[in-house]
Amino acid sequence: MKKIHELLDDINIENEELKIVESNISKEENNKILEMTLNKAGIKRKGIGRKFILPLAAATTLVLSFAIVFAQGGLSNIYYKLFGDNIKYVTEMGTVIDESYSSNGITLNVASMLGDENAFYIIFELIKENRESFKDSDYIEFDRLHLDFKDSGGYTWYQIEDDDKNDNKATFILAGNTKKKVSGNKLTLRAADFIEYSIKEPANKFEPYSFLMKNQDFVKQSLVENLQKSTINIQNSDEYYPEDKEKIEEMYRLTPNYVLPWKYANIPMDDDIDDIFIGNIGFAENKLCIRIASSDLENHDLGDIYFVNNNNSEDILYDEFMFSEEKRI
Amino acid sequence: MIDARLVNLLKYNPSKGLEIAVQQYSGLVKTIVVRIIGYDKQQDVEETVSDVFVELWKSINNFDPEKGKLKNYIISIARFVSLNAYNRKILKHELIPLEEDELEFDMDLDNEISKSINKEIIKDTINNLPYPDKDIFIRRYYLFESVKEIAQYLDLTPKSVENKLYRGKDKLKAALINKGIII
Repeated sequence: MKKIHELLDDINIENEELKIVESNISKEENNKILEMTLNKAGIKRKGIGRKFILPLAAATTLVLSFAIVFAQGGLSNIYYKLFGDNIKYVTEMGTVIDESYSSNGITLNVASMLGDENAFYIIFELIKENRESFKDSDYIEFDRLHLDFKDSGGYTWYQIEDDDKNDNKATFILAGNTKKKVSGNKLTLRAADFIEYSIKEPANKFEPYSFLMKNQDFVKQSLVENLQKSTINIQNSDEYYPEDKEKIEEMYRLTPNYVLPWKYANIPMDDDIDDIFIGNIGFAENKLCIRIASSDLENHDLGDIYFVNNNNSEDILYDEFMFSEEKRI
Repeated sequence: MIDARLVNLLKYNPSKGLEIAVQQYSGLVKTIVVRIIGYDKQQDVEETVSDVFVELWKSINNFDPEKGKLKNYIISIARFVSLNAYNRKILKHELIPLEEDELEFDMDLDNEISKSINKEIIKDTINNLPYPDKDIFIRRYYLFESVKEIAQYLDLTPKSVENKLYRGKDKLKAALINKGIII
Protein backbone atom coordinates (compact mmCIF):
# COMPACT_ATOMS: atom_id res chain seq x y z
CA MET A 1 0.00 0.00 0.00
CA LYS A 2 1.47 3.36 -1.04
CA LYS A 3 1.89 6.17 1.41
CA ILE A 4 1.15 9.74 0.44
CA HIS A 5 4.54 11.04 1.60
CA GLU A 6 6.20 8.54 -0.79
CA LEU A 7 4.19 9.96 -3.70
CA LEU A 8 5.71 13.34 -3.03
CA ASP A 9 9.29 12.07 -3.35
CA ASP A 10 9.57 13.19 -6.96
CA ILE A 11 7.60 16.39 -6.69
CA ASN A 12 9.47 19.53 -7.65
CA ILE A 13 9.08 22.12 -4.91
CA GLU A 14 11.85 24.35 -6.20
CA ASN A 15 9.57 27.34 -6.73
CA GLU A 16 7.42 27.14 -3.59
CA GLU A 17 7.67 29.88 -0.99
CA LEU A 18 8.58 27.73 1.97
CA LYS A 19 9.03 29.46 5.28
CA ILE A 20 10.48 26.94 7.69
CA VAL A 21 11.42 27.51 11.30
CA GLU A 22 15.18 27.02 11.46
CA SER A 23 16.76 25.06 14.31
CA ASN A 24 19.18 26.82 16.59
CA ILE A 25 22.68 25.73 15.81
CA SER A 26 25.72 26.72 17.84
CA LYS A 27 28.98 27.90 16.29
CA GLU A 28 30.63 24.80 17.74
CA GLU A 29 28.07 22.50 16.11
CA ASN A 30 28.44 24.38 12.82
CA ASN A 31 32.21 23.90 12.91
CA LYS A 32 31.81 20.21 13.65
CA ILE A 33 29.35 19.74 10.77
CA LEU A 34 31.67 21.61 8.42
CA GLU A 35 34.65 19.45 9.42
CA MET A 36 32.60 16.27 8.92
CA THR A 37 31.37 17.53 5.55
CA LEU A 38 34.83 18.42 4.29
CA ASN A 39 36.24 15.09 5.49
CA LYS A 40 33.50 13.10 3.77
CA ALA A 41 33.89 15.12 0.57
CA GLY A 42 37.66 14.64 0.72
CA ILE A 43 38.20 18.40 0.52
CA LYS A 44 41.14 19.91 2.32
CA ARG A 45 40.34 23.12 4.11
CA LYS A 46 42.61 25.96 3.20
CA GLY A 47 44.87 26.96 6.10
CA ILE A 48 43.76 30.28 7.42
CA GLY A 49 46.93 31.14 9.29
CA ARG A 50 46.49 33.79 11.88
CA LYS A 51 45.51 37.03 10.36
CA PHE A 52 45.25 40.62 11.34
CA ILE A 53 44.02 43.64 9.47
CA LEU A 54 46.52 46.09 8.15
CA PRO A 55 45.44 49.71 7.96
CA LEU A 56 44.57 50.69 4.44
CA ALA A 57 45.19 54.21 3.19
CA ALA A 58 41.98 54.43 1.24
CA ALA A 59 38.88 52.29 1.25
CA THR A 60 36.81 53.27 -1.68
CA THR A 61 34.17 52.26 -4.16
CA LEU A 62 35.33 51.68 -7.69
CA VAL A 63 32.95 51.22 -10.59
CA LEU A 64 34.07 50.26 -14.04
CA SER A 65 32.10 49.39 -17.18
CA PHE A 66 33.57 47.72 -20.23
CA ALA A 67 32.34 45.99 -23.35
CA ILE A 68 32.61 42.24 -23.78
CA VAL A 69 34.65 41.37 -26.82
CA PHE A 70 36.40 38.14 -27.56
CA ALA A 71 38.60 39.22 -30.44
CA GLN A 72 42.14 38.04 -31.06
CA GLY A 73 44.71 39.65 -28.89
CA GLY A 74 47.69 39.31 -26.59
CA LEU A 75 47.51 37.08 -23.59
CA SER A 76 48.89 37.71 -20.19
CA ASN A 77 51.03 35.00 -18.62
CA ILE A 78 48.44 35.03 -15.87
CA TYR A 79 46.36 32.69 -18.00
CA TYR A 80 49.12 30.18 -17.65
CA LYS A 81 48.30 30.02 -13.96
CA LEU A 82 44.70 29.30 -14.85
CA PHE A 83 45.14 26.81 -17.64
CA GLY A 84 48.62 25.41 -16.95
CA ASP A 85 50.01 23.36 -19.81
CA ASN A 86 46.73 23.62 -21.71
CA ILE A 87 47.69 27.22 -22.43
CA LYS A 88 48.50 26.24 -26.01
CA TYR A 89 44.78 25.74 -26.67
CA VAL A 90 43.80 29.21 -25.53
CA THR A 91 46.70 31.46 -26.40
CA GLU A 92 44.84 33.07 -29.27
CA MET A 93 41.63 33.73 -27.39
CA GLY A 94 42.54 36.43 -24.88
CA THR A 95 41.62 40.06 -25.36
CA VAL A 96 43.31 43.06 -23.82
CA ILE A 97 40.68 45.32 -22.30
CA ASP A 98 42.84 47.68 -20.24
CA GLU A 99 40.03 49.91 -18.95
CA SER A 100 40.56 51.54 -15.58
CA TYR A 101 38.94 53.76 -13.02
CA SER A 102 40.64 55.53 -10.11
CA SER A 103 39.39 56.89 -6.83
CA ASN A 104 41.16 57.87 -3.62
CA GLY A 105 44.54 56.71 -4.83
CA ILE A 106 43.38 53.24 -5.87
CA THR A 107 42.86 52.16 -9.46
CA LEU A 108 40.71 49.28 -10.60
CA ASN A 109 41.92 48.03 -13.94
CA VAL A 110 40.30 45.35 -16.05
CA ALA A 111 43.36 44.01 -17.81
CA SER A 112 42.01 41.32 -20.10
CA MET A 113 39.27 38.88 -20.73
CA LEU A 114 38.89 35.38 -22.09
CA GLY A 115 35.81 33.40 -22.86
CA ASP A 116 33.30 31.93 -25.21
CA GLU A 117 29.60 32.61 -25.65
CA ASN A 118 28.57 31.52 -22.17
CA ALA A 119 31.65 31.46 -19.97
CA PHE A 120 34.25 34.09 -19.31
CA TYR A 121 37.32 34.87 -17.26
CA ILE A 122 38.22 38.46 -16.45
CA ILE A 123 41.59 39.48 -15.13
CA PHE A 124 41.38 42.63 -13.06
CA GLU A 125 43.90 44.46 -10.95
CA LEU A 126 43.98 46.78 -7.99
CA ILE A 127 46.73 49.34 -8.34
CA LYS A 128 47.93 51.53 -5.51
CA GLU A 129 49.18 54.96 -6.39
CA ASN A 130 51.35 57.25 -4.25
CA ARG A 131 54.23 54.74 -4.31
CA GLU A 132 52.50 52.32 -1.99
CA SER A 133 52.76 48.58 -2.57
CA PHE A 134 51.01 45.36 -1.59
CA LYS A 135 54.19 43.84 -0.20
CA ASP A 136 52.76 43.44 3.32
CA SER A 137 49.49 41.86 2.33
CA ASP A 138 49.17 38.12 1.87
CA TYR A 139 45.66 38.31 0.54
CA ILE A 140 42.87 40.77 -0.11
CA GLU A 141 39.17 40.47 0.52
CA PHE A 142 36.51 42.79 -0.81
CA ASP A 143 33.66 43.83 1.38
CA ARG A 144 31.59 43.94 -1.79
CA LEU A 145 32.53 42.88 -5.28
CA HIS A 146 29.76 42.90 -7.81
CA LEU A 147 29.57 42.23 -11.53
CA ASP A 148 26.48 43.55 -13.33
CA PHE A 149 25.39 41.82 -16.49
CA LYS A 150 22.04 41.57 -18.21
CA ASP A 151 21.46 37.85 -18.32
CA SER A 152 21.11 35.35 -15.48
CA GLY A 153 24.29 33.58 -14.51
CA GLY A 154 26.87 33.52 -11.81
CA TYR A 155 30.45 34.27 -11.07
CA THR A 156 33.16 33.85 -8.51
CA TRP A 157 36.52 35.49 -8.04
CA TYR A 158 39.84 34.87 -6.38
CA GLN A 159 43.20 36.51 -6.01
CA ILE A 160 46.11 34.98 -7.85
CA GLU A 161 49.66 34.71 -6.67
CA ASP A 162 51.64 37.88 -7.29
CA ASP A 163 54.74 37.59 -9.46
CA ASP A 164 56.25 40.65 -7.81
CA LYS A 165 55.12 41.20 -4.24
CA ASN A 166 56.92 44.54 -4.07
CA ASP A 167 54.99 46.20 -6.84
CA ASN A 168 51.84 48.26 -6.39
CA LYS A 169 49.52 45.78 -8.09
CA ALA A 170 47.34 42.90 -6.91
CA THR A 171 45.76 40.67 -9.55
CA PHE A 172 42.47 38.79 -9.50
CA ILE A 173 40.56 36.43 -11.75
CA LEU A 174 36.81 36.56 -12.00
CA ALA A 175 35.24 33.44 -13.51
CA GLY A 176 31.62 33.51 -14.63
CA ASN A 177 29.00 31.98 -16.85
CA THR A 178 25.68 33.04 -18.33
CA LYS A 179 22.76 31.29 -19.98
CA LYS A 180 22.76 33.51 -23.05
CA LYS A 181 25.46 34.92 -25.29
CA VAL A 182 27.35 37.71 -23.58
CA SER A 183 29.55 38.87 -26.42
CA GLY A 184 28.86 42.52 -27.27
CA ASN A 185 27.15 43.26 -23.94
CA LYS A 186 28.47 45.65 -21.34
CA LEU A 187 29.71 44.47 -17.96
CA THR A 188 30.09 46.65 -14.89
CA LEU A 189 32.46 45.67 -12.13
CA ARG A 190 32.00 47.30 -8.73
CA ALA A 191 34.52 46.85 -5.94
CA ALA A 192 34.07 48.40 -2.52
CA ASP A 193 36.00 48.56 0.73
CA PHE A 194 38.67 45.96 0.43
CA ILE A 195 40.82 44.76 3.30
CA GLU A 196 44.37 43.50 3.14
CA TYR A 197 45.28 40.59 5.35
CA SER A 198 48.68 39.48 6.43
CA ILE A 199 49.44 35.97 7.62
CA LYS A 200 51.63 36.45 10.62
CA GLU A 201 54.44 34.04 11.37
CA PRO A 202 54.98 33.51 15.10
CA ALA A 203 57.84 35.65 16.36
CA ASN A 204 58.90 33.29 19.15
CA LYS A 205 58.00 29.86 17.96
CA PHE A 206 57.65 27.13 20.54
CA GLU A 207 60.76 24.96 20.51
CA PRO A 208 60.21 21.52 21.99
CA TYR A 209 63.94 20.77 22.36
CA SER A 210 64.79 23.93 24.34
CA PHE A 211 61.69 23.53 26.46
CA LEU A 212 62.45 19.92 27.37
CA MET A 213 66.09 20.71 28.12
CA LYS A 214 64.95 23.36 30.59
CA ASN A 215 62.12 21.30 32.04
CA GLN A 216 63.50 17.84 32.66
CA ASP A 217 60.43 16.74 34.63
CA PHE A 218 58.49 16.78 31.35
CA VAL A 219 60.93 14.55 29.45
CA LYS A 220 59.98 11.06 30.59
CA GLN A 221 56.30 10.42 30.71
CA SER A 222 53.84 7.54 30.57
CA LEU A 223 50.76 7.39 28.44
CA VAL A 224 47.30 6.99 29.90
CA GLU A 225 44.23 5.37 28.40
CA ASN A 226 42.39 7.62 25.96
CA LEU A 227 39.00 7.71 27.60
CA GLN A 228 37.55 9.60 24.66
CA LYS A 229 38.06 6.66 22.35
CA SER A 230 34.72 5.11 21.59
CA THR A 231 34.19 1.45 22.45
CA ILE A 232 31.18 0.97 20.21
CA ASN A 233 31.35 -2.34 18.38
CA ILE A 234 29.80 -2.03 14.94
CA GLN A 235 30.95 -5.39 13.58
CA ASN A 236 27.58 -7.07 13.93
CA SER A 237 25.45 -4.06 13.28
CA ASP A 238 23.27 -3.84 10.17
CA GLU A 239 22.70 -0.14 10.70
CA TYR A 240 25.68 0.89 8.61
CA TYR A 241 26.59 0.52 4.97
CA PRO A 242 29.88 -1.36 4.42
CA GLU A 243 31.65 1.85 3.30
CA ASP A 244 30.41 3.69 6.42
CA LYS A 245 31.64 0.79 8.52
CA GLU A 246 35.03 1.04 6.86
CA LYS A 247 35.23 4.77 7.59
CA ILE A 248 34.26 4.31 11.23
CA GLU A 249 36.79 1.52 11.61
CA GLU A 250 39.48 3.68 10.01
CA MET A 251 38.71 6.57 12.36
CA TYR A 252 38.79 4.12 15.26
CA ARG A 253 42.14 2.76 14.12
CA LEU A 254 43.63 6.27 13.81
CA THR A 255 42.48 7.38 17.24
CA PRO A 256 45.22 6.48 19.72
CA ASN A 257 44.41 4.08 22.55
CA TYR A 258 46.81 5.83 24.86
CA VAL A 259 47.64 9.53 25.09
CA LEU A 260 49.69 11.90 27.24
CA PRO A 261 47.88 12.77 30.46
CA TRP A 262 46.60 16.28 31.07
CA LYS A 263 49.28 18.37 32.74
CA TYR A 264 47.64 21.78 32.32
CA ALA A 265 51.03 23.26 31.54
CA ASN A 266 49.49 26.05 29.42
CA ILE A 267 52.73 26.62 27.53
CA PRO A 268 52.17 29.41 24.99
CA MET A 269 52.87 28.55 21.36
CA ASP A 270 53.74 32.15 20.57
CA ASP A 271 53.68 35.50 22.37
CA ASP A 272 50.75 36.72 20.33
CA ILE A 273 48.66 33.56 20.47
CA ASP A 274 46.63 33.53 23.63
CA ASP A 275 44.00 30.91 22.91
CA ILE A 276 46.03 27.84 21.93
CA PHE A 277 48.42 26.17 24.36
CA ILE A 278 50.63 23.17 24.74
CA GLY A 279 48.83 21.23 27.46
CA ASN A 280 51.63 18.70 27.89
CA ILE A 281 54.76 17.56 26.08
CA GLY A 282 57.21 14.77 26.66
CA PHE A 283 58.66 11.47 25.51
CA ALA A 284 56.57 8.36 25.99
CA GLU A 285 57.23 4.96 24.44
CA ASN A 286 60.18 6.48 22.55
CA LYS A 287 57.98 9.04 20.80
CA LEU A 288 57.73 12.78 21.21
CA CYS A 289 54.12 13.43 22.19
CA ILE A 290 52.45 16.83 22.35
CA ARG A 291 49.02 17.55 23.73
CA ILE A 292 47.52 20.78 22.38
CA ALA A 293 44.60 22.58 23.96
CA SER A 294 42.43 25.56 23.11
CA SER A 295 40.91 27.91 25.66
CA ASP A 296 38.28 29.05 23.19
CA LEU A 297 35.50 26.49 23.26
CA GLU A 298 33.69 28.30 20.46
CA ASN A 299 36.56 27.93 18.06
CA HIS A 300 37.49 24.46 16.87
CA ASP A 301 39.99 25.66 14.33
CA LEU A 302 43.63 25.49 15.34
CA GLY A 303 44.74 27.01 12.06
CA ASP A 304 47.84 25.36 10.66
CA ILE A 305 50.19 23.46 12.92
CA TYR A 306 53.44 22.24 11.46
CA PHE A 307 56.90 21.27 12.58
CA VAL A 308 59.98 22.85 11.04
CA ASN A 309 63.44 21.29 11.25
CA ASN A 310 65.67 23.83 13.06
CA ASN A 311 68.63 22.86 10.87
CA ASN A 312 66.72 23.03 7.61
CA SER A 313 63.79 25.40 7.28
CA GLU A 314 62.67 23.64 4.09
CA ASP A 315 62.11 20.43 6.03
CA ILE A 316 58.56 20.85 7.25
CA LEU A 317 56.36 18.19 8.80
CA TYR A 318 52.84 19.25 8.06
CA ASP A 319 49.61 17.50 8.85
CA GLU A 320 46.06 18.02 9.93
CA PHE A 321 45.03 17.40 13.50
CA MET A 322 41.78 16.35 15.09
CA PHE A 323 40.27 17.23 18.41
CA SER A 324 40.26 14.29 20.75
CA GLU A 325 38.71 15.90 23.75
CA GLU A 326 36.95 19.08 24.72
CA LYS A 327 38.06 20.38 28.07
CA ARG A 328 38.54 23.85 29.48
CA ILE A 329 42.11 24.63 30.43
CA MET B 1 24.82 35.53 -0.11
CA ILE B 2 23.02 35.34 -3.42
CA ASP B 3 22.42 31.86 -4.81
CA ALA B 4 24.57 32.28 -7.92
CA ARG B 5 27.68 33.24 -5.96
CA LEU B 6 27.26 30.34 -3.53
CA VAL B 7 26.69 27.91 -6.40
CA ASN B 8 29.88 29.10 -8.10
CA LEU B 9 31.84 28.85 -4.87
CA LEU B 10 30.61 25.28 -4.45
CA LYS B 11 31.76 24.53 -7.98
CA TYR B 12 35.09 26.32 -8.06
CA ASN B 13 36.13 26.78 -4.41
CA PRO B 14 34.31 23.98 -2.60
CA SER B 15 35.92 24.42 0.82
CA LYS B 16 34.79 28.06 0.97
CA GLY B 17 31.45 27.22 -0.65
CA LEU B 18 30.70 24.49 1.87
CA GLU B 19 31.76 26.76 4.72
CA ILE B 20 29.21 29.37 3.63
CA ALA B 21 26.53 26.80 2.78
CA VAL B 22 26.86 25.24 6.26
CA GLN B 23 26.83 28.66 7.92
CA GLN B 24 23.78 29.78 5.96
CA TYR B 25 21.66 26.64 5.78
CA SER B 26 22.63 24.28 8.62
CA GLY B 27 19.72 25.47 10.81
CA LEU B 28 17.24 24.80 8.03
CA VAL B 29 18.77 21.41 7.18
CA LYS B 30 18.81 20.40 10.84
CA THR B 31 15.08 21.14 11.12
CA ILE B 32 14.29 18.76 8.23
CA VAL B 33 16.74 16.10 9.47
CA VAL B 34 15.37 16.12 13.03
CA ARG B 35 11.79 15.96 11.79
CA ILE B 36 12.56 12.82 9.80
CA ILE B 37 15.18 10.86 11.74
CA GLY B 38 14.32 12.20 15.21
CA TYR B 39 16.73 13.43 17.84
CA ASP B 40 17.72 10.20 19.63
CA LYS B 41 21.44 10.77 19.08
CA GLN B 42 23.02 14.14 18.39
CA GLN B 43 25.82 12.37 16.51
CA ASP B 44 23.31 10.87 14.04
CA VAL B 45 21.77 14.28 13.41
CA GLU B 46 25.17 15.87 12.77
CA GLU B 47 26.18 12.98 10.49
CA THR B 48 23.00 13.32 8.44
CA VAL B 49 23.26 17.13 8.25
CA SER B 50 26.83 16.80 6.97
CA ASP B 51 25.68 14.10 4.47
CA VAL B 52 23.18 16.64 3.11
CA PHE B 53 25.94 19.17 2.43
CA VAL B 54 28.17 16.52 0.83
CA GLU B 55 25.23 15.62 -1.43
CA LEU B 56 24.67 19.32 -2.20
CA TRP B 57 28.31 19.65 -3.25
CA LYS B 58 28.17 16.47 -5.36
CA SER B 59 24.98 17.47 -7.14
CA ILE B 60 25.49 21.21 -7.50
CA ASN B 61 25.81 20.87 -11.29
CA ASN B 62 22.23 19.57 -11.37
CA PHE B 63 20.90 22.74 -9.78
CA ASP B 64 19.28 25.06 -12.30
CA PRO B 65 18.73 28.56 -10.85
CA GLU B 66 16.05 29.20 -13.47
CA LYS B 67 13.95 26.32 -12.16
CA GLY B 68 13.91 27.41 -8.55
CA LYS B 69 15.60 28.59 -5.42
CA LEU B 70 18.74 27.07 -3.96
CA LYS B 71 17.07 26.96 -0.55
CA ASN B 72 14.33 24.67 -1.90
CA TYR B 73 16.91 22.53 -3.70
CA ILE B 74 18.70 22.09 -0.37
CA ILE B 75 15.39 21.22 1.32
CA SER B 76 14.75 18.50 -1.28
CA ILE B 77 18.24 17.07 -0.72
CA ALA B 78 17.77 17.21 3.06
CA ARG B 79 14.49 15.33 2.72
CA PHE B 80 15.98 12.68 0.43
CA VAL B 81 19.11 12.10 2.55
CA SER B 82 17.12 12.06 5.80
CA LEU B 83 14.59 9.57 4.46
CA ASN B 84 17.47 7.28 3.43
CA ALA B 85 18.92 7.59 6.94
CA TYR B 86 15.47 6.94 8.39
CA ASN B 87 15.02 3.82 6.24
CA ARG B 88 18.36 2.44 7.51
CA LYS B 89 17.24 2.74 11.13
CA ILE B 90 16.29 -0.45 12.88
CA LEU B 91 13.91 1.10 15.38
CA LYS B 92 11.73 3.50 13.47
CA HIS B 93 9.19 5.96 14.75
CA GLU B 94 6.13 6.69 12.63
CA LEU B 95 6.73 9.69 10.35
CA ILE B 96 3.00 10.26 9.85
CA PRO B 97 0.25 8.11 11.45
CA LEU B 98 -0.67 5.30 9.06
CA GLU B 99 -4.38 6.19 8.81
CA GLU B 100 -3.37 9.67 7.69
CA ASP B 101 -0.58 8.60 5.33
CA GLU B 102 -2.04 5.53 3.66
CA LEU B 103 -3.66 5.94 0.25
CA GLU B 104 -5.82 2.77 0.63
CA PHE B 105 -4.91 1.39 -2.80
CA ASP B 106 -1.71 0.51 -4.57
CA MET B 107 -0.26 2.15 -7.62
CA ASP B 108 2.60 1.53 -9.95
CA LEU B 109 5.59 3.71 -9.21
CA ASP B 110 8.20 1.29 -10.53
CA ASN B 111 7.38 1.31 -14.21
CA GLU B 112 8.81 4.49 -15.76
CA ILE B 113 5.75 5.32 -17.90
CA SER B 114 3.15 4.85 -15.19
CA LYS B 115 5.44 6.59 -12.72
CA SER B 116 5.64 9.62 -14.96
CA ILE B 117 1.84 9.70 -15.52
CA ASN B 118 1.12 9.34 -11.82
CA LYS B 119 3.71 11.98 -10.99
CA GLU B 120 2.00 14.49 -13.28
CA ILE B 121 -1.39 13.77 -11.71
CA ILE B 122 0.02 14.21 -8.21
CA LYS B 123 1.72 17.46 -9.23
CA ASP B 124 -1.43 18.83 -10.90
CA THR B 125 -3.67 17.89 -8.00
CA ILE B 126 -1.39 19.51 -5.44
CA ASN B 127 -0.90 22.62 -7.57
CA ASN B 128 -4.67 23.00 -7.97
CA LEU B 129 -5.40 22.82 -4.26
CA PRO B 130 -6.69 26.22 -3.06
CA TYR B 131 -4.77 28.35 -0.55
CA PRO B 132 -3.92 27.37 2.18
CA ASP B 133 -4.70 23.69 1.44
CA LYS B 134 -1.70 23.33 -0.88
CA ASP B 135 0.67 24.80 1.70
CA ILE B 136 -0.79 22.53 4.38
CA PHE B 137 -0.46 19.44 2.17
CA ILE B 138 3.20 20.16 1.35
CA ARG B 139 4.04 20.98 4.95
CA ARG B 140 2.46 17.76 6.20
CA TYR B 141 3.51 15.24 3.58
CA TYR B 142 6.68 16.77 2.19
CA LEU B 143 8.15 18.54 5.19
CA PHE B 144 6.61 16.27 7.87
CA GLU B 145 5.42 19.17 10.01
CA SER B 146 2.96 18.20 12.74
CA VAL B 147 -0.67 19.29 12.49
CA LYS B 148 -0.10 21.48 15.56
CA GLU B 149 2.90 23.23 13.97
CA ILE B 150 0.99 23.86 10.74
CA ALA B 151 -2.01 25.19 12.65
CA GLN B 152 0.21 27.56 14.61
CA TYR B 153 2.04 28.74 11.50
CA LEU B 154 -1.15 29.42 9.53
CA ASP B 155 -3.15 30.65 12.51
CA LEU B 156 -5.78 27.93 12.12
CA THR B 157 -7.22 25.37 14.52
CA PRO B 158 -5.71 21.84 14.40
CA LYS B 159 -9.19 20.53 13.50
CA SER B 160 -9.36 22.82 10.49
CA VAL B 161 -5.89 21.68 9.34
CA GLU B 162 -6.97 18.03 9.69
CA ASN B 163 -10.10 18.72 7.61
CA LYS B 164 -8.10 20.39 4.86
CA LEU B 165 -5.62 17.52 4.83
CA TYR B 166 -8.48 15.05 4.59
CA ARG B 167 -10.00 16.98 1.68
CA GLY B 168 -6.61 17.16 -0.08
CA LYS B 169 -6.09 13.44 0.36
CA ASP B 170 -9.58 12.76 -1.04
CA LYS B 171 -8.93 14.92 -4.09
CA LEU B 172 -5.62 13.16 -4.72
CA LYS B 173 -7.26 9.76 -4.36
CA ALA B 174 -10.07 10.69 -6.74
CA ALA B 175 -7.65 12.10 -9.34
CA LEU B 176 -5.48 8.98 -9.24
CA ILE B 177 -8.51 6.65 -9.49
CA ASN B 178 -9.94 8.60 -12.44
CA LYS B 179 -6.75 9.30 -14.37
CA GLY B 180 -3.87 7.40 -12.84
CA ILE B 181 -2.38 3.97 -13.18
CA ILE B 182 -3.56 1.82 -10.31
CA ILE B 183 -2.57 -1.75 -9.64
